[in-house]
Amino acid sequence: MQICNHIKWQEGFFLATLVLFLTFPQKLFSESIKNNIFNKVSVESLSLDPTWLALGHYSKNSVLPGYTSFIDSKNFFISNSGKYSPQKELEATVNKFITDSNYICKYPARYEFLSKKLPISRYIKARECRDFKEWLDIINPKGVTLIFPSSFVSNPASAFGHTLIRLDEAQEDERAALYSYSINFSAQTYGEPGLLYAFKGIFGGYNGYFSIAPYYKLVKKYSDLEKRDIWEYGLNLTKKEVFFLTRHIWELREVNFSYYYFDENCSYHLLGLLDVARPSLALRSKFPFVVIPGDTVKEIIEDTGLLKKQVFRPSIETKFTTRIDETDINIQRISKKIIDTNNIKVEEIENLNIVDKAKTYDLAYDYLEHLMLKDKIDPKISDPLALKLLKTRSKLPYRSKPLTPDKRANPLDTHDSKKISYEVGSIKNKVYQNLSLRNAYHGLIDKPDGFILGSSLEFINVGFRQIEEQDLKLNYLDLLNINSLSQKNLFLNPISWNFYSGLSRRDTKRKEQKLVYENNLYLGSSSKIINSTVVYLLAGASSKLSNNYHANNATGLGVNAGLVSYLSDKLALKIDVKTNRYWLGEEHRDLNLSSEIRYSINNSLDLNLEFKRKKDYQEYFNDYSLSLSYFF
Amino acid sequence: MKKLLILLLLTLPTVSFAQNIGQCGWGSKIFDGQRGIAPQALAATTNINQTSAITSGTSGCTQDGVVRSSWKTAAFIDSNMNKLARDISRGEGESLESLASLVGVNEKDNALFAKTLQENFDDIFISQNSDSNAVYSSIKSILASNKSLVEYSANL
Repeated sequence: MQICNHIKWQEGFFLATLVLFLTFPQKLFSESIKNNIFNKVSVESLSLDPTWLALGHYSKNSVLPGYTSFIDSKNFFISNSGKYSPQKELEATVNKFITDSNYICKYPARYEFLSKKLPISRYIKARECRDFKEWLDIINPKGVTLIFPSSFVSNPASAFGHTLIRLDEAQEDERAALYSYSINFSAQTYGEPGLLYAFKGIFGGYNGYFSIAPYYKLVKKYSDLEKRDIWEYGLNLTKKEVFFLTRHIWELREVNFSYYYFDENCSYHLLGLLDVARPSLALRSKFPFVVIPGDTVKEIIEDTGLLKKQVFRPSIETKFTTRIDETDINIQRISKKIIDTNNIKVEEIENLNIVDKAKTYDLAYDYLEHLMLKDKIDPKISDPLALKLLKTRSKLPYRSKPLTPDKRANPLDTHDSKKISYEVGSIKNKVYQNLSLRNAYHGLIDKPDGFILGSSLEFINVGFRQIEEQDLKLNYLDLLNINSLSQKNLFLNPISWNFYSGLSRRDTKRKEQKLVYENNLYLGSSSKIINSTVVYLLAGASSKLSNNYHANNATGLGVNAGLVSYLSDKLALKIDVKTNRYWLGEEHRDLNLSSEIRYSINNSLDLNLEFKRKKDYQEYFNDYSLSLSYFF
Repeated sequence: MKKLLILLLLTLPTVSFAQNIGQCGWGSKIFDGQRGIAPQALAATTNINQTSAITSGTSGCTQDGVVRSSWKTAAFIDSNMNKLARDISRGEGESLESLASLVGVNEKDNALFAKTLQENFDDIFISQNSDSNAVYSSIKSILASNKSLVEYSANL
């Protein structure tokens, strides 16, 4: 039976091809047409035109000669060897355009480019691409905005951020931003579990693709659910470039790209899109290695002169904290009481005037919304309460004033992430010099512009020290040092924490300082006392490993408290006390009292003065130092 | 004859049909979007997610990944129910302004548009189970019954 079916199918196929062939004789792409078309232009040089290379997402091979496309989908290429040969793909495209006009509608950007460079239009009957035209009319692109959802407040691992673009329907009318379409690059995972996910994301194994969605859907994801502030940079592209880019996006329907977390990631492929809009930018080639979205934003904006305007879109959480800051403390208390007691008619509200009543309900709703988004309230309670609140609010004839949040964390304002420092000081009355290099990214006392207040992440910070006439020795190797000091208020009580892991030279029972490997995790609370001053109190555990300890280790508990204050644009102060008591392994106590002042000479040069009073093991000692740091 | 009918159906302006959002597979309730789907930390960091690529072809009220023009406002309302409820109650907010823009409200009528919807909040969001379809039609009829805003009701 099966064989029979098989034969029948083959016969059917043969007949069908025969019929097709007889009824629709294919126009032949004869040698003479080919010669006419490529009469004045060399195929080879045209196939190396930056626009053609951008349209095929080709990149120059690093070792072997030639090019390879980042696109994995076979159906994107017309030629079988199209992934590896821009030239063969170009020839095949011209061939198809002449023999089958459906291809003009499938590749409108290629057609626009090739019809300008080659005399192909005389061999092609003009045709209207209805589906494409409708699609283009719906998107109706007038401009392009680069979108940068910044890092998570509570998740330093996402410090890298993300980038996407928006095709603006109306450039001047900001009211159109939400319903304009956005183009996002992401990887397809089919809902695989966490670890496999991470592994495949980093080492390859996922396909990435561009998706299109109204911007409001992206705002819901990044701004509401993930609580990330978004920066939007309107780009100075001409109308022609915007249209050419949009034409190309049509070509990318159902097309897969190779995806790697560190290099061939969202930002990298997005750069590829902007290269299509304006090939002379050659943005992609500027990032041969790791691609950090924040860096690409800086690159696109700063080095190309493409920036037209910036818009800050605060996350739902930032709006909530701004509303708290902008509301009188008495009203704050009433708002909180309404939600906590599930009663919209608390007695305190009766005496308020209309404006204050409106402010009370507005803040109460924001608080409720916050609880709902965090799943901290039963929908059976929240939903009726929310509707009652809104109904009551709508009866007050007062239009709320727009909030004015701090325009913080603009990635364009950040200092560069690598730092090299030279330090001179005195430890135990002996003069020393120390040279250090930090790989990334931001320390608590560094210039805070563009970073979230109270959060820092330092990754691989290595220092070498020479005391008097001794040899230069490794002084410390900080692997990771994270501060996440989210400040509490009447409504929010986030956990503040810091984590440290690294090697440092310390007193032990030996005469000279020895390297000790230390891990600390402290949790607690912090608050903002005045505008740019954060105080914190944390407690936690500490573990030290060293072959100069009894049983090679010391494990215990400790507390950490301090203050960091950004006094002005140039000046910051940090005071920190940390003490641990170790019961397991080598029993001892340590103490570290430090105070530090940072003065910024300019955006890439800092001067730091530090005083430390320390006890690592038994003896107390002082450590004074002055350092000069350069960010690059 | 059949062909002619189909042709006629295709060329008829879609706005003349009474719209039913349910037909697009939508119909959110007010607070549907409000549940905190705790973002998977990793999904967020690696920007890996489960949406799909730009598709080709037509399905429901979308074509090649975009919402057909005649459903644009309905799709906006459906995806922004909770924000619209919040902003309409306050007479201020971005979702309200975007709605005004979609409906084609002139600068001079913006304040009246916001005020009118605010005053009629109870009729737009009747209960927590009101869906986007009901919200869409009540906004349309509220605009239709206001002398100065009646011209905009045709855009819904």
